[in-house]
Amino acid sequence: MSENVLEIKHLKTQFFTRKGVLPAVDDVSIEIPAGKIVGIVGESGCGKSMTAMSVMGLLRHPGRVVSGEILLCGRDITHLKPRELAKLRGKEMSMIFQEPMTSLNPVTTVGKQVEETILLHESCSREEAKKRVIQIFNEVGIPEAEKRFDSYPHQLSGGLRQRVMIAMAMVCRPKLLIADEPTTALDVTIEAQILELFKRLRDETGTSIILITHNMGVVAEVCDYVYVMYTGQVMEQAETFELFANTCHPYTKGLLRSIPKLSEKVDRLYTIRGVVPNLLHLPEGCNFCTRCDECQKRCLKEQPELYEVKEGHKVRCFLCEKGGA
Amino acid sequence: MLKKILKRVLISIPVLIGVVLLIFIMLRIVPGNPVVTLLGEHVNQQTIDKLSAEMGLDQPIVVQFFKYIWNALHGDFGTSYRMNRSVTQMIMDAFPYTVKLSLLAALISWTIGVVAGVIAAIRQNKLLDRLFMGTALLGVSMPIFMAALLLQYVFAYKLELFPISGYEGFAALILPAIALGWNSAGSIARMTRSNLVEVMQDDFIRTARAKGRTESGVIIFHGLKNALLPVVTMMAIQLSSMLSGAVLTESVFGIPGIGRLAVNAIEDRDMPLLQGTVLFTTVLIIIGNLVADILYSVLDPRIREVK
Repeated sequence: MSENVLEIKHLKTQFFTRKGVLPAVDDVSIEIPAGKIVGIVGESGCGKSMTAMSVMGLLRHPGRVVSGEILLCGRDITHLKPRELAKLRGKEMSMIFQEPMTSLNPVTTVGKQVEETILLHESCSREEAKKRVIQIFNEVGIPEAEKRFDSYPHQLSGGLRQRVMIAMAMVCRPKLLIADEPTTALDVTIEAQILELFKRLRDETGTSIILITHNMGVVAEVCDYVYVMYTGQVMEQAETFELFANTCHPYTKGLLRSIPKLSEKVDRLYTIRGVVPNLLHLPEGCNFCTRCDECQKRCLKEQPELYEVKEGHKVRCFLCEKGGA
Repeated sequence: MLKKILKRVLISIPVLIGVVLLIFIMLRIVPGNPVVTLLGEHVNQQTIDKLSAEMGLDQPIVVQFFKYIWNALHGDFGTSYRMNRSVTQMIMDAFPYTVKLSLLAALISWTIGVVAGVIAAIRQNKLLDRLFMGTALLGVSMPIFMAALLLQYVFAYKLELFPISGYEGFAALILPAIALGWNSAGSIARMTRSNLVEVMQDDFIRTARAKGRTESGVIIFHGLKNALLPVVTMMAIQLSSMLSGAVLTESVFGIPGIGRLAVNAIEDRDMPLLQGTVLFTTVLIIIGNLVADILYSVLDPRIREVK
């Protein structure tokens, strides 16, 4: 059996709209090793969430996986029936979302909602399930867990709701947790706490975590390995330290330059020029060529592949074709 | 919660007084003297005056009004001119028929409405959805008397499956119940569909899918639980308006309920009886709205807390 909890091989997810076919995820290969936190970074609409939704089997019409393989613990789950896939969700793999304010059912107590996950996947009595809910509430740092069991979502703060979501996702001890921008809607102090919680849960339970974010700071803090995505493609992938120390792709460089630094005084923050191209009208060559500062003639004509510049560090850029930038 | 209910009850008192005042004035503005109606055209003035005095109709309208309110507070709603019976008694005799009819109508229309609404929502924009919603639109827009006459013609007259009119046991209630529930079924179906379609777009539905619920589980345990909240409220209001007398349905099918009582009272210029039925109806509607309000706050925890 492989060490990787999740392997995505050449995944293509497309949306069949009236205007045309949107390549939301374009030939993405991702490996999630056991017990690691892997970051997927990119701007809005770069395919981060759609990659996650494809893995979870949560794509809605008109989107679907067109080709590629998704292996969960070595088992191909790409073509499972909806019922089979539902059995895996919440048990083997689970997901938490960006909007803690609206992601919980408003008319059911949070305790019951977490309990539901247990009762769906395991045969145990209600009392036992309730005990486990209170236990996981304590684990994810919800104060007065027993009292909170009977709270409704609107009675909790955003941070607490996100903790409830994490409790719901973790209660069956899944092998894989996908966190889709889990801290974007929270303020910075809560964000730090939640990130700490992820690290602790990973250490205690060995769950692998995919952390989807647009925040390079978050990546630097918790991720072991990073994938940078743009227009549905992986542009650069490397271990976190390597990526920050030895950034190769112009897009990644741009993202890093956009982070304001306290040590420098600037009038305007750096931005990557231009906007993300419409997925229906991608440029002929490299997807990033319209915004790239280092664009060459060749970039306009040909699509670069992922070139390995070092072991475990791959870059989709002609500048790195011969290895190293 | 108790405070809220009490507050609502207190607010209803001025509404009731207003309604009584309105009926009182209106009944005295409309042409036609009830005494003349009662005695016939060819009676001399003396007899008319004498009877008017006996019935207290010669007194100023203000005095009549307060006398009526005073008696009503003591449970006496007067005596029917025509039948010479206690109005309270007549209403109590008629009410059970209306209750049976309304409950049956509610049962039929809500079951059909909710089931059709859910199916339409799941098959959104597909053939079944179009079919159900088209029928629902017909249900909402077709007047009750037309539905009633159509049903009567087809099922009672042509097919002879049910009695045409009159109250002879349960079978006689089925056609009137369908006619009465016709509009309700349509509006419940439309409301269920639109609410469910909307709720199914919500983020917590995605959460329910992510935790491993199958699609039908998601719809039943998360979708419907939210989508039916406003529908239940609407049902309470519908039931109260059905109970307050289906004037048209009861007339067409000859059911001796509250609605027929009111129609007869109008035809006979039977003022005490009419006042009584309208007052009774008003109270029912007020109670219905109150129940709807309370139900909503009981079912929705977000509203429960807002005092």
